[in-house]
Amino acid sequence: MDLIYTPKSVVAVLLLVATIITWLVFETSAGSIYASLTIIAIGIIKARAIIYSFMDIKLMPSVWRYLFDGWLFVVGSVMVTASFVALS
Amino acid sequence: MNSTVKTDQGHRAEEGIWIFIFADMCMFGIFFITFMYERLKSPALYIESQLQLNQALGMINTLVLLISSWFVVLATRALHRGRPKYSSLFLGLAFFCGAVFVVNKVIEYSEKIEQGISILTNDFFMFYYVLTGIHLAHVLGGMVVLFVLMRKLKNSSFQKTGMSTVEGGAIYWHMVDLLWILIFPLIYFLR
Repeated sequence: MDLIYTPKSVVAVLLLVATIITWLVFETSAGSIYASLTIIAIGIIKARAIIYSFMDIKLMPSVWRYLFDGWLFVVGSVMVTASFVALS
Repeated sequence: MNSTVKTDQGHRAEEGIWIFIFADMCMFGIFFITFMYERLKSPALYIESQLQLNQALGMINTLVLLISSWFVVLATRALHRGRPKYSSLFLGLAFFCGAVFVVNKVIEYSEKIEQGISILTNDFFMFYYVLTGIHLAHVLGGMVVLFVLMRKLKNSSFQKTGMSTVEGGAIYWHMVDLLWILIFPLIYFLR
């Protein structure tokens, strides 16, 4: 059991909860710009949690953090912009 | 390329695996951007097509992959703590989750094919099959990695020297999870 008691297990549970929240947002208000932005934001936060907690990128040289954060920023920005344009 | 990064916390990761993973993510990033750009040209078609997807299966698969990633985290932790049997057990559980993901995907594809929906139906379904298909290939590749690591952990010399190999495999599996975390809302939820 001592193997399971780690901050990363807390992150894992939060990721599962965030996924269920995404589902609830979709079920209750799919089609609104707020729902789309919330779903994208949750997705980006979950992806960053995986990179920083599970993949332990903070233990790598800082250039890797910049690269992965940059990737997330570009992908997230395109998703937000495209959703906004499509729904507005 | 083969340099090993060591930190004060004892974490080791082959830099080559990070380069490979980042290159893979860039390829998916281009797919995501192309999908969003094409979607702007005919949003109604994309939304109409999206309604034909099985969101529940997509949701279950997201939870399954997240749980598998958690098992991989625990497998790495167990090996760090000198408990290779537990490490092998957790890798086995992650492998099982991967198999559940694959079965769900086969069910989902079968449903679509029975409904007469193929890669040629329209642009949305072309992206659907290509994006999820390439991701599925990554899941299968990851399962092979997990299986090989599980087998190797039976070897006592690998238990002492294979930490960076296990961490490399773990990082690959987390990337597979990470990509699905973004494919899931993109394909199934975004309006």
